[in-house]
Amino acid sequence: MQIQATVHAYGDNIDTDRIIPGKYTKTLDMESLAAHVMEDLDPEFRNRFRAGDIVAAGDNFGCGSSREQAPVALKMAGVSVVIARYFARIFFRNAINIGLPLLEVPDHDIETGDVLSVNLSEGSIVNLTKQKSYRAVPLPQVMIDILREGGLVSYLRKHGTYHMQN
Amino acid sequence: MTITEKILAINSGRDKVTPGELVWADVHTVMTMDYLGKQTFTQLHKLGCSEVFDKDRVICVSDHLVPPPTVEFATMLNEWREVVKQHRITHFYDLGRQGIAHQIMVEQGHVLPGKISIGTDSHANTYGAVGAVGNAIGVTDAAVAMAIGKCWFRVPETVKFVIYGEWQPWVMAKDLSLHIMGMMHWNGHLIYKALEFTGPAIAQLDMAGRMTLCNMTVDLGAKNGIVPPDEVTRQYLQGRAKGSWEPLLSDSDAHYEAVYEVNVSEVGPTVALPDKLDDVVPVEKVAGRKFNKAFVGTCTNGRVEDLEIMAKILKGKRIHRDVNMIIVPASQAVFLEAMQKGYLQTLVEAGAAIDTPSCAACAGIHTGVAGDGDIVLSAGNRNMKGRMGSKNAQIYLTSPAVVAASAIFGEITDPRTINL
Repeated sequence: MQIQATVHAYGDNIDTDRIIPGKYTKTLDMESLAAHVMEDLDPEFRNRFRAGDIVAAGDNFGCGSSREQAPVALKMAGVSVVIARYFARIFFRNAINIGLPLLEVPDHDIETGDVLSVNLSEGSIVNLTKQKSYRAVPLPQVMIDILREGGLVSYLRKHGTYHMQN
Repeated sequence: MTITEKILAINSGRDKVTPGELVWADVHTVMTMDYLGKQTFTQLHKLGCSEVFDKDRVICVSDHLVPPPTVEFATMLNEWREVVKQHRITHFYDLGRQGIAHQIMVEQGHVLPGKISIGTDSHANTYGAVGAVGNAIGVTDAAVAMAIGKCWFRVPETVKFVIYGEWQPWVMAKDLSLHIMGMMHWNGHLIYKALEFTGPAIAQLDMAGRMTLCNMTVDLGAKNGIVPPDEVTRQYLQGRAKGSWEPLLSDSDAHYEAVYEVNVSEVGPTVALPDKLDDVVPVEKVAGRKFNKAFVGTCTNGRVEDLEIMAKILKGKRIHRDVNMIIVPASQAVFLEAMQKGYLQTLVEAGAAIDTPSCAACAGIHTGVAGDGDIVLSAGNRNMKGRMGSKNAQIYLTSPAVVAASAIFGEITDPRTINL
């Protein structure tokens, strides 16, 4: 899974209320979430963002409410991968389960406008703008497999079960 | 092993687990609620599953949307009720028998020491109060667990907090939670960790206080918070526990990633400033700041003990004319007990509005939301921008005692300074 795209970067502790405000999450129409993703945090996000772009952040991305709509909204908007120094745990598992690729890079200086080349299964990132590379914390194989199938539901439907391995 | 490691080991059929391992563990109960429940069942159906693994152990609660303030909510509730009925769920706490899901799970005995319970709401960490592993999961995880009674977990490293000293007058578990928040900050130390609370000051803490403490561990970024079961736990569960249980405790040679000691004698009433949970100060630092809305309720502080301390402070007093106070008991059982004990009468006489049990304004989607320019003094759990409604509102977080004392004067007030 190879991605090359432009970054939209944010700071630390971006909570799920700022990824998708609670008032929009009452709906069962998941596609409608994309229109409001990040709107309180960055009202210009929807205008600047092009499908396939990358979201990068600092510490603790996705903290707060457990709403699965937060990774869903990012996925529906067309985010190809989220990169953070680390993720809040509920966001992390929700993202894997709904098939939003994410990479934990403990030390990075990725900024808005940088163009990255990302290899998801290897966890390697090249910053083409800054001419630097970064290494992500490797994802367990089962999570890469779940992401490859587009999420846990399609994974389980295809494989019947899944096995834990480190 | 620590208590959390032991619970994950026993429930995944292993003799031993080590932090970092992924395990596939049995869950005792799975909770979902009105706000995400329909989506959870939809995911279940997408899995090709038409029956839950155990009708007695999938717990359904109406709490975020009841009673419905809009046609949209009413319609969502109808869809939710239909799918719960379709699955013939035994324990459905709908409007009239409702409460905030986490309160219901503990109060109605659906969470047991030594077992794992999960729920589709972030404050499922509350279940650690009885010595269970309580974990929040998303709707997809919940659907899988509802189908097969299992969920995957990464075994967390455990961080121990030893709490000693004497609880000071008007100091509550909430103050300790906020104090720890200020002490640890959101700097990554506690992300994914199991937090174990022990020590003589925890032994003195009642179940309501233990629930508050474990509840807010999610807001510290932790995977779970847990209080090892003791006599307080045993007495609390007497007549409530739905199922048998054995207490599990940490081994004396258990490995902790870190151990912190907190002298609770040095913890006073504490306040988190607007927008950031870890921006925490002793109440005296912000005494005198004005606010116009007071809110007490939620899975953090909507219990009988919280209403009791408020009633003690507000007995014979009047809430300041510029303050609107909303109090939301955490469940119908709490509502009834607070009514029988006269606390609600005292609070209404003081000028508080009592709302029917629900999550109310806490998540910014139900009754009592904050509007532009509001300054809210809340005994809830989150204060980030927009959390309770308008992003142009400010939210201070504190204990029910500080909210009650402050409401009399319309400005933040140290409850230790007022004459009762």
